[in-house]
Amino acid sequence: MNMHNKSKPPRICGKFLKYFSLYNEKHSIVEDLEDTYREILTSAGVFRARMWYYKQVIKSLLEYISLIFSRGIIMFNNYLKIALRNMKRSVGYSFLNIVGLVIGITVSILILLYVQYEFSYDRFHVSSNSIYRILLEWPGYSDKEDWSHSTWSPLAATLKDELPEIEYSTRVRRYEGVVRREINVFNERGIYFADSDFLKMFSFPLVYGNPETALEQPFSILLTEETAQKYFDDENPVEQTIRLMIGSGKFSEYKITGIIKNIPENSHFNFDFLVSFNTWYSLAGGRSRIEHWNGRSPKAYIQLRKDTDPGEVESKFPAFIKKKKDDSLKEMLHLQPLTDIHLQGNWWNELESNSDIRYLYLLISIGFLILLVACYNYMNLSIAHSIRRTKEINIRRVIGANRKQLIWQFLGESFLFTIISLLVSLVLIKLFLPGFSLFMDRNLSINLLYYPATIQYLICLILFIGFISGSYPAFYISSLRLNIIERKSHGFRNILIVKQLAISIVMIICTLAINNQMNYIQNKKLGYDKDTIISLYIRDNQLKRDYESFKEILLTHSNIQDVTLGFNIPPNIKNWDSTKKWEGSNEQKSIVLNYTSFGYDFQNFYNMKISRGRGFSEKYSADHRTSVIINESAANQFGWSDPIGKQFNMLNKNWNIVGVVEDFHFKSLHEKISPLMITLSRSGSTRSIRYISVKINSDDIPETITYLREKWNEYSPDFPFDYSFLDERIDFIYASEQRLGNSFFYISTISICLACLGLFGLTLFSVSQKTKEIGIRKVLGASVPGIFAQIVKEIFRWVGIATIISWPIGYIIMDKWFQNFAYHAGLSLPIFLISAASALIITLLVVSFQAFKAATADPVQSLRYE
Amino acid sequence: MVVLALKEEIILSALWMLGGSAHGSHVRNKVVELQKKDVVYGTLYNLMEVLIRKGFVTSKKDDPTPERGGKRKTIYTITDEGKKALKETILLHETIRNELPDIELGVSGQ
Repeated sequence: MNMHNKSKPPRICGKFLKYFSLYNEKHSIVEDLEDTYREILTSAGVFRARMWYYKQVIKSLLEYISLIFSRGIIMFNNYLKIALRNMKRSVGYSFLNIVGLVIGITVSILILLYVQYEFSYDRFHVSSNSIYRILLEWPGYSDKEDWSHSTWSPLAATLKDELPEIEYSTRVRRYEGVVRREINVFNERGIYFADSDFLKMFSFPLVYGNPETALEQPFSILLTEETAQKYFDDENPVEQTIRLMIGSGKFSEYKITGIIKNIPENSHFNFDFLVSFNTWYSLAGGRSRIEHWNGRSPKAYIQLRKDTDPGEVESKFPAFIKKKKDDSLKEMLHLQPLTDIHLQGNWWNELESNSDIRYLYLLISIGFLILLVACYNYMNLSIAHSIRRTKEINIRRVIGANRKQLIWQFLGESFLFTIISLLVSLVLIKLFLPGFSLFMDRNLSINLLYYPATIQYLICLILFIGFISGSYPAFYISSLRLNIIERKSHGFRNILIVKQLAISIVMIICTLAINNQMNYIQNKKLGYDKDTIISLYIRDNQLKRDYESFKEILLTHSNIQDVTLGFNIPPNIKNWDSTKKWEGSNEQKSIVLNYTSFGYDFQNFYNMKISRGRGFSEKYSADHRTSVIINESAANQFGWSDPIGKQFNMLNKNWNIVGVVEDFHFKSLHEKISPLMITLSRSGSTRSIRYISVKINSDDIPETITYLREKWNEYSPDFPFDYSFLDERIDFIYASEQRLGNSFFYISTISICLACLGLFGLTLFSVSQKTKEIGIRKVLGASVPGIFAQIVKEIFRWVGIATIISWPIGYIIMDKWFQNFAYHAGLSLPIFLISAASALIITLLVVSFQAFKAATADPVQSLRYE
Repeated sequence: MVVLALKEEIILSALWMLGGSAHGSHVRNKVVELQKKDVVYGTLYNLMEVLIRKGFVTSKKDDPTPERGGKRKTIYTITDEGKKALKETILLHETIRNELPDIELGVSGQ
């Protein structure tokens, strides 16, 4: 610092102070500070003076801010009062606006809650960011959805041994079985087998037991709290035993080594029992029968060490595979993050039914769209309404309101509307949430709203809506010169109406198309009969051996039409494998086939059609060794002109094709039908029989079931009678598809309502504009029908233009959407016609009603307020 | 009867003590003298705004003088209403003091 500046306070602060415009203009802050600075300088020295100066500047800044703030609040209150008053004056408009915003906000928030929940799956595990599942990519199936999560048994442990980046690994396999403890015997579907690292990787806290050792010993089992309650009531299950029969075989004793706290809903694991995986070695008859690289079944999960890059680990996989397997099949391994499993799960093969991330993205965009439409409605309505208020606005300007004040006023009104709508929405959400949760089959609670992140979203939401909706009218109206508001309104109003009509028409098109598609899917022929077929799951080997006599006995009942057996029932055909060897192949390409077994005459039972060759028959003894029936899809894949008699190799065996069955759906209706091979299930075969299916009359079903149960108990008394209706099973599998369809339908309906609401409001207010015009016409001598014809002509013109705009848009949007489906209903002309017609009808109704009132009114009245 | 807030009263009093008209810096110094505590200019100006809005004080820009390089400082002047309000407030203090039984109002320490 040079001497020259010593008597002056720090420069920068001085410049800074100039920004306190109020302090600087009305009060001379810079000079005052300077004067006092000098005084302190002389009395206490430079240092003290400077300190004082800084303090003054900073504190004055704070004071300044609070001054502006409090002034702002006063102004805000003022505008709020005015806005409230305005709202009360035009109740109809306010009501319409609020209803529109409420619908928009409520739907968006409900969707947000659901989507948030879906994304939250599996995140409660402490190490959720480091856990991955191993996926197998099959050559030729580069689409992620086709990758398999069934892996070779030794994979998980070997990976952990060989790759130092892997901290823990476990296999997981789900099984069904019969569980028995004293008098409680139940079929259980949620029995998971896992290695001992499982409890270290995943955060399933134990109420009792040691997570380090609980899964170490074979025949160790853990129960969830609920399951323990079910089998042990209030008894302490600790250290006790429980008997399980897995697959078909005998019961074994398992020691209970722990109780697990009940599993949260948002987990893709959902087990009731956890059994040590090494139990399989005993159950399967030897360790070597499980630990081999030739077949795949368990899922493999690994946990990487902290801060390891999954990409690096993946890059080590090819070398790893080469070592372990002969790479003639060239499968590739990939890592799938734990948190992606629920969202991306190819739900046909999953442990539990999952969501589809495409669906979620779609939902998000629709929610956003609805919000946008609501805002757009608000904007339109607001503009139309403010055209009405031109007189008021003009007066304000004459009095001296500047543009800034007008803008603030409009924004203030907009915020007021938004806040009121938000409050009403919150109440509605609280009301609707239980029903919505039920509908979506998820456990949603409003507590999710208390997470800080969501509060921020909400606030951003309000600001966003408020600003967007209020901005256009605010800036637009306030910028117009006084008299232009009158003249411009005409053409402008037309544009608004046409825009609104176009949106409504597009909405209607989308809704009708989606509805069509969903109906089509639901009514689509599966390719086989599903009605009144009962499926019995068989574990009892003895029953399998006694099948023929069991079948005979059943058929004696008048209500029972037919009985068959098989490895699967059509909807749960899952197993697949691939082959490179078939007649005429060059062993370069591989074909993936699903496989299953059915009994003789399955085609009659299920009403499937054998299009070429023959069904299985007792006449040919080869049928139960090497004969196979394939479906049309498979035949196409193989590429022979006549598949009958051709051979191919699958599952290390050569098969001879004796027949081709017409395609039937055994997977999602959205997907193309996969190639399938069917072998013969024979009575007595313990390995190829899992189901006995019974076709019954729809008369007196309870009686038939009682009969079935009786006979079952005769033939298989040790095993619980477990039956299900085939169509219920199918519906359950397709449940999430159903939900998808339904939710789309509801959402589209809401969008249409919103769009129509906007249309309604718009026409309502523009017609009121017309009263003046009509009044004038009347005075000039026009007749009532003449006026009417005029108006109708104008309506047709609006709808015509809107149609021309909206049809191409609607077509493009729906066409893209239909790409998601392998089979789709397509867009038909009626959809477009109906959409345009409905828009026309609505507009006609609304406008003509108003116009009629106007046309028959006394012109003196309508012109009075000129 | 018009009653002033304590801070307002202090500032008006200071202004009056300075003769009814004074620069911002002088007012501030006087208030510091009275309160024996530092006062931030921002607070002062805020209160001045309130007083001006209420009509107790007027402000105007001074004539430029060469010694300050031609800058103009604001001068605050107490108005008749301001004087009236101040008188009434002081009267209120008196009334309270007289009717409040037995309070020893000695000089308190710093």
